[in-house]
Amino acid sequence: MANDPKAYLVVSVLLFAIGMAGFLIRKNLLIVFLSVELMLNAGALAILVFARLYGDTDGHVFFFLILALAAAESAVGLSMVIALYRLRHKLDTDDLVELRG
Amino acid sequence: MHQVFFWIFASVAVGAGLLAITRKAALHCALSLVVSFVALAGLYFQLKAPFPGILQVMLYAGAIMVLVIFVIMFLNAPEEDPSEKISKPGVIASVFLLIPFAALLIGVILHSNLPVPAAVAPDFGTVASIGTRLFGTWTWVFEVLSLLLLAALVAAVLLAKKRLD
Amino acid sequence: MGTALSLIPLALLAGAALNGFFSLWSARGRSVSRTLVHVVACAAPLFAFAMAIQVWRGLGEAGGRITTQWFEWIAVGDLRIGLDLTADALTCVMLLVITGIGSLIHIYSTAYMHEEEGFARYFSALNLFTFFMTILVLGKNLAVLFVGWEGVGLCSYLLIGYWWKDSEKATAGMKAFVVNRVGDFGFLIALFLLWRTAGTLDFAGIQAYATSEAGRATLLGPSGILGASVATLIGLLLFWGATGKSAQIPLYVWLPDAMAGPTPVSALIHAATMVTAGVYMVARLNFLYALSPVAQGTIMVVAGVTSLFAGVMALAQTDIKKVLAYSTISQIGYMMLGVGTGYVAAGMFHVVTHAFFKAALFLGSGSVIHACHHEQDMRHMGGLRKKMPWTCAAMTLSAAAMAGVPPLSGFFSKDEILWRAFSHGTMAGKIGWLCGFLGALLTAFYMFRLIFMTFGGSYRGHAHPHEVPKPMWMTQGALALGAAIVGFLGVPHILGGHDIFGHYLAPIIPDFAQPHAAHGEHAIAVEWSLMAWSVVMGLAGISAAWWAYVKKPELPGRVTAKIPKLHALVRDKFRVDEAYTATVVRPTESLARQVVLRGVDQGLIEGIVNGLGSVARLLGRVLSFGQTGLLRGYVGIMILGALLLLLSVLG
Repeated sequence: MANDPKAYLVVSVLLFAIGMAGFLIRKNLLIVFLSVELMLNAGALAILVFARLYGDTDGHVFFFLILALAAAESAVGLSMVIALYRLRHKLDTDDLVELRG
Repeated sequence: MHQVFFWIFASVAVGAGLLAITRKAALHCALSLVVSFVALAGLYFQLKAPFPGILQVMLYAGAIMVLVIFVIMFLNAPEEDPSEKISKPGVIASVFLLIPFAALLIGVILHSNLPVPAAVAPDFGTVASIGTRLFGTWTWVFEVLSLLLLAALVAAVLLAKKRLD
Repeated sequence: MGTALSLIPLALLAGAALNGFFSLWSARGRSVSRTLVHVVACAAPLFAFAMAIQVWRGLGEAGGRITTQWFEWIAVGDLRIGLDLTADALTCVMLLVITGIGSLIHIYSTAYMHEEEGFARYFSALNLFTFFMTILVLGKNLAVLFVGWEGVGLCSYLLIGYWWKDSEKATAGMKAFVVNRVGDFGFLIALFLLWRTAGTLDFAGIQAYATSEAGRATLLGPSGILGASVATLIGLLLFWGATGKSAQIPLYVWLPDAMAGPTPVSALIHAATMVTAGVYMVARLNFLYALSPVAQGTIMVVAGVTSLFAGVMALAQTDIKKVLAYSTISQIGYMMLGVGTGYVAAGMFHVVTHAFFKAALFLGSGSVIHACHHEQDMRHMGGLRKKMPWTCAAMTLSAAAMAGVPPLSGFFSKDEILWRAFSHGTMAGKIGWLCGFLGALLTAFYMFRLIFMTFGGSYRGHAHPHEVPKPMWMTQGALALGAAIVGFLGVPHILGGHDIFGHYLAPIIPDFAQPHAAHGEHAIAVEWSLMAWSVVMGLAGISAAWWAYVKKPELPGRVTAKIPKLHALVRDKFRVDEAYTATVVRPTESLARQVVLRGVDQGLIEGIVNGLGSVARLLGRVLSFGQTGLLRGYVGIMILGALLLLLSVLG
């Protein structure tokens, strides 16, 4: 089963579900952020599985893109977290409801 | 051999991932995530993707997560923050939405007719082949990516400035 | 020749544009040279006059018609309307009157308006009016004529409301505009009908159609409305439009109010040119009216009654301009009567002579008002004979011309009309003649009442009247001189003349040798006796006026005291305005307020608009429950969406 791409994909789905669960159940903004990273990696894993499956190097290139995106996202996201913490001294996502309709 | 490694890496990745979302302290979560990422890198090696694996360890687990941990320690939020609590509606949503979603997706994967992995070219996954692709076919994407990083850099500097004015 | 033709309106338009620019310039608080504005304002119509003479002289060489095509204006489906100008004998007559008398009135205005601030605006509108008037008479088709028709209406509105800060005067402008719009409705329907019937709006095209066998049959055929033939229907609808523009019953009510404008405007627009547009239009389409005795009869009766009715109303007016206004309505009635007989030269001749003597009278009354410091009530005038000799002479001469004193112009033109109406051989012609005949007596009476009240006796006002400046008395003198001599253009055959005017217009009148006006012994006798009777009536009117206002000044008071109710009725213009207010204006207003404003606008339209607004607001309020601001909620919905998507794909 190890070489079966299905197993890898199941792992990818599990990781993605775990990331999303973290997003749903945690209140801390930083952990929510970490969950997003986990989901990104789950997606990257799926891409690499398919790259291997079809022998296409483009998948690797896309992994590279995801990596750069994650770097940019974490830079901006973390600085926003810092700015927000300075402003409110709290990182509770339940409190960040200014955009409520 | 492959199977053994797969099971090890897969279970470590998933287990550490679970820890990463369930630990109380943000720092512990981040460290668990690093473990998960390293295990993932092992899976990448298994998939004949050594270059992404190395990048995963060096950049993701190394650079990005270090940045996250640095921020966590920098903010030094108190342990008994009420924000460390778990959201009940979130749990309910996870049980009633996420689990069916994941189960359905896994079911689809298990019942799909994916081909057997093809025998790959000898240069598959080498740095040289990835570089050729990246700077050949995807040159412009790469350039756009550099712009994105520049924008993120400027945004990060601006946002993290002491006074938001 | 086409160039000269084009230059007539273009020069006037350029003058209007330049003065409009000066007007905007001065409205921004910059100083504008009065002389420059005057030069531009007078140069434009003078140049146009020169061009009109050029066209008139070149007309014979060009075979009686000069045409110039500017561009294709409307091209929709089969409808092709070009912005084309054309000039024939009829147009030339109108052109010379418009630009010639227009020039004199422009010159007069430079002195009359010299105290006004908005002089550039005034001259811009006056130039623009002249432009539209030339377009009206030059139009090769009815659509272009309609452009001029509406354009002169606009300028009339602008100039009546020249002192727009006075709400009464602004209202008078609006009244003129709205009443004209009522007439335009009929006019437009007629245009549509004509287009449907003949397939063209071109005058030449309509004429060709009306003279062709098939066209004639269609026009004489039933229209399906009240048993009238198509030609009758079109003719009556066009005449409906003409009653608005030319102030005939029932749409004359705007003209007396239009006297709110500056007096030169009254002279140019509301006496000499614009109000004759309806007459011109009927004359232009005489071939159409020739097919409809009913329409001709209607015109003759309405015109005759108008001339008599307006004459009666003029009797009891004390405002000098109001007297002239009612006399104008009355005189246009004569013109309409003339063109209604089918022999349009008679009506057009009166247009020309009237333009001279009425313009002179209006300019004279302007001078009097000017001299008496804006006093318009004749009861506060009198004795101005010595103080304003030139004005007095010019006005008296013009009044005599209007009263039909031989051999002044009004005598010839009015006589021709009355004779044509009398010998038309129809009941309508006789009615028109009778009204006009009685009207002649009234005309002489009220005109000399005006003269005696203004210039005779001794001064009853408080101002210090003085003779007006040179440009004013010279122009009115020139017009009065014209009024005296222009009649010799139309001396009838029985007086040894050659009726030059009638022969000049002969090409546009299809049945010039009118069968019923054959020069038998009997006809000549009739013409002679009619002429004699008119002279008697005119002289009787003048004598009566002299008796009542010079010899025994207390007589009018005694007479009116005996019949106070009748006098009040006449003085109040038979309360026609009040009747219109009660029957038309009020119901329209309440319809507008109750149905259109409350029902349609506030009820329906605002209901729809506000309803849409509240639906959007309600929808927003409902949807805003989803906008919790909680990231978790959004992610939950995303997962739900993904789940549903997945399920739908799996089917």
